[in-house]
Amino acid sequence: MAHAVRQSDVDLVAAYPITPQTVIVERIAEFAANGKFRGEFVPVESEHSAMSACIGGALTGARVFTATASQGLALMHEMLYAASGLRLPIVMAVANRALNSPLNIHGDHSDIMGSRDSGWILLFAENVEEAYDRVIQAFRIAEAVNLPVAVNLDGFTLTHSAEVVRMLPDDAVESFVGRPPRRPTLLDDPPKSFGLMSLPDTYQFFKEDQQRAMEGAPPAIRAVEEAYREISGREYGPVKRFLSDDADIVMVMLGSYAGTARVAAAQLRSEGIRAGVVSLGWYRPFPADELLRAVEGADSIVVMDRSVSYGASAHPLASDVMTALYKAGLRKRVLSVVYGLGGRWFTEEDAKRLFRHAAEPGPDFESFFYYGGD
Amino acid sequence: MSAGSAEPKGGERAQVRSLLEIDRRERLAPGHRACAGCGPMIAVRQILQAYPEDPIVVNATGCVEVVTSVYPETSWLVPWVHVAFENSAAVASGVEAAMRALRRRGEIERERPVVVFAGDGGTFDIGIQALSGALERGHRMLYVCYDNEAYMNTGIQRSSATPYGAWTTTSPYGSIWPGKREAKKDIVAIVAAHGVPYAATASISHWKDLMTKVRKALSYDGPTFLHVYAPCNRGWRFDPSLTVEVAKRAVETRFFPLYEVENGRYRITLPVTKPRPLEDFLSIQGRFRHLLLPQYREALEELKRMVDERWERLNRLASARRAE
Amino acid sequence: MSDGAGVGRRPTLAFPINPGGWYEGGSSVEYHTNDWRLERPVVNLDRCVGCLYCWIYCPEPAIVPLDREGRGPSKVKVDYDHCKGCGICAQVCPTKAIDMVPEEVGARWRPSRGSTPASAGHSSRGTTPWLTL
Repeated sequence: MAHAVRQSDVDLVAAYPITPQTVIVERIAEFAANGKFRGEFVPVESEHSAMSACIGGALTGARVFTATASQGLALMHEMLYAASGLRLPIVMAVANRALNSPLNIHGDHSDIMGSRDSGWILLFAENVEEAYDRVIQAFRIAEAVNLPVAVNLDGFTLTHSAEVVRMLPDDAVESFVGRPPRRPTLLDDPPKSFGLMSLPDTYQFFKEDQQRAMEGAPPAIRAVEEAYREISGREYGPVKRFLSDDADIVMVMLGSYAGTARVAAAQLRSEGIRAGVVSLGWYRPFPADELLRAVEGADSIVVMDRSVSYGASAHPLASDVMTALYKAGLRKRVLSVVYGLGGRWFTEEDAKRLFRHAAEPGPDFESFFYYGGD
Repeated sequence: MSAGSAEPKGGERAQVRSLLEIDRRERLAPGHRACAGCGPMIAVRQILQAYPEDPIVVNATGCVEVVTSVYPETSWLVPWVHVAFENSAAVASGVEAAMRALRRRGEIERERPVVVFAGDGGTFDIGIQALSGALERGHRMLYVCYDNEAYMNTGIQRSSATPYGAWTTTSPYGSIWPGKREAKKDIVAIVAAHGVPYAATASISHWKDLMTKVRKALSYDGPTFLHVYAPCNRGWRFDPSLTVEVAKRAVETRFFPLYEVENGRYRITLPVTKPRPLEDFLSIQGRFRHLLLPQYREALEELKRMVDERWERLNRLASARRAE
Repeated sequence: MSDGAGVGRRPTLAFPINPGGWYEGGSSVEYHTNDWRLERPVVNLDRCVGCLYCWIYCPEPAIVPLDREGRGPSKVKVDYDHCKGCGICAQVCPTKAIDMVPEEVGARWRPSRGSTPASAGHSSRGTTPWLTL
């Protein structure tokens, strides 16, 4: 990801270390120390200041980037709303990690789920190469719709693994991202004021505009993905389907455990269970149409949540999925599963167990925490 | 008026001699909603007028920000940004670093000066982390703390800048409390401890000293700090016409000494050899008047002792450096 | 996005809603804070020596140097559209050239103009209906 940042002609990186994001920032610092990263590297004194400095930099017209996880994301939570409200094209990598308390430094999605209403475009990467691709795309997406973009990758699983990444050549990325388009900045003349207070007579208008921008983003995101495919041969889209076209049971999830689920689904076919997997590339804006098309043939949907929404009708991803079904007038059996919290393991055997359970008759809606085999 | 950037360090070139030589083009438009007689707004005006070129203003949440920016009305005739309460120094760091990056790639010719306006609450308390970080990293900016000695915009609550014995809504005087029970934090000492090139106190009553200090600060390529005394007639309880007089008496009673710390060297810029009695300063403000009553005599003595002690300490620091 | 068949209709404002909430600087000048004051400063130009103390101590600014461009002494005038009547100028003037005079009952001021919300109606009505001296 550090390479993606280096190649994408970023002007300012302001970041604070937190496990498991540290490697990203350390690499960027190394590049800077050796003249390979031509932007400014500002080692701020907290994540809140990281996002604040990014906001300041973006308002000056610079291309900015930061990275964080868990507690750091929670600390900058206030600033996430500011970044989106100010309509700034900030790109951030989030190494998804569990939130205190108790302290846990391993992966789950609770950090980003706590911020899902902040007005950020949320992309999820399943493997390291996808994370690299998504960061590069994120700059173009953010600058096209003027909303900040977070690229989510599983903490430790993706941040501390060794995988093959087919990086693109420097000049290909540089010409792909180009320079940010002109927008109002602090360097404009006549001078502008940014971040005014907005009273009840105006505030709601701004918020609706943010919603319109978010809802209108899909075509712009698709355009960037398609352009990226031209230079890389790789495309992920809002929804990644695996054996879902003829599946009876589809597992819907985010993040790297989708790979595990796919192996399980393929293996189950030989048992006569028609299992499929849908992994979301976008979480916000939520790709309801594409998701519905992917699951329309299925009878059961197993929605995997790596976070909890205490006391809610349904956990984050399940809530979005079920609402999409309801809006389309579809009724399907839904199993809402909470798993993988705090880095808890999830193997192919676990995925198969869940598919098999879904293959048995059962209630229309079930929700439980899944721990795995002994 | 002196030319723009790249001035030699402080000294003669920075000295403002006459009000008449200052540029009269306003950088602040009227029509803002500050209370009549607002001290902080006077501070903002004086500082902006001292700048040789238009700065970019980063403003923390607080009185100044709220009264000058109610969408779609803004009083700022220079580029201005407000993000939140505690992060003005961090936002300014981002602005400053971004300009440097853009200049390096040739997209802009030169960086513009950055000035931060934050209140005592947004500096001494909630903003101190971001301030410390920006100072340590050495960003080129002038951070101005306009000190009205409480959280005024939210209704006069105490901050760590509120003086000992002062009434505020969260440090009222009563049968047990004399007003605020804690001493005022020494922000300039904290800033100076970061090893910055220039930090100073200033008062709106002494515009010449204030503007000279602004110019001196601008001559340094690094973080500089101004702690400006800016009385609030609502929170301190005095007639709006007396704002400047109250600030003047604060200086004349040694309650708010005017000094600077230039590369670690302390210098009192306005010596007060014959201080007025502290009562002259306290008696014209409702927030302190209770200290003149017999039951608070101990607190009054304590406050006087603090003022004397601090003056002596400043003198020691100022002469210590001179001896080297 | 639908608007609920008109129920969710977005009202039209007299000014733009800029994405991100920025605005061109200086627009507050259209908001007249003149009806805040109970007394107004009157400058005696004979006594005024043009030192500009009133100008540097005015919080608004509502003191305007007559010589806007030059250097050197300049007498002043008051911007009565914005003066809030705080009285600092009178207090600091070294030659006592400014008097604070009570606003008259029924005095008329110029109301806010332009397209900002203040001028669209909520304040600076231009009269003193509440003063019953």
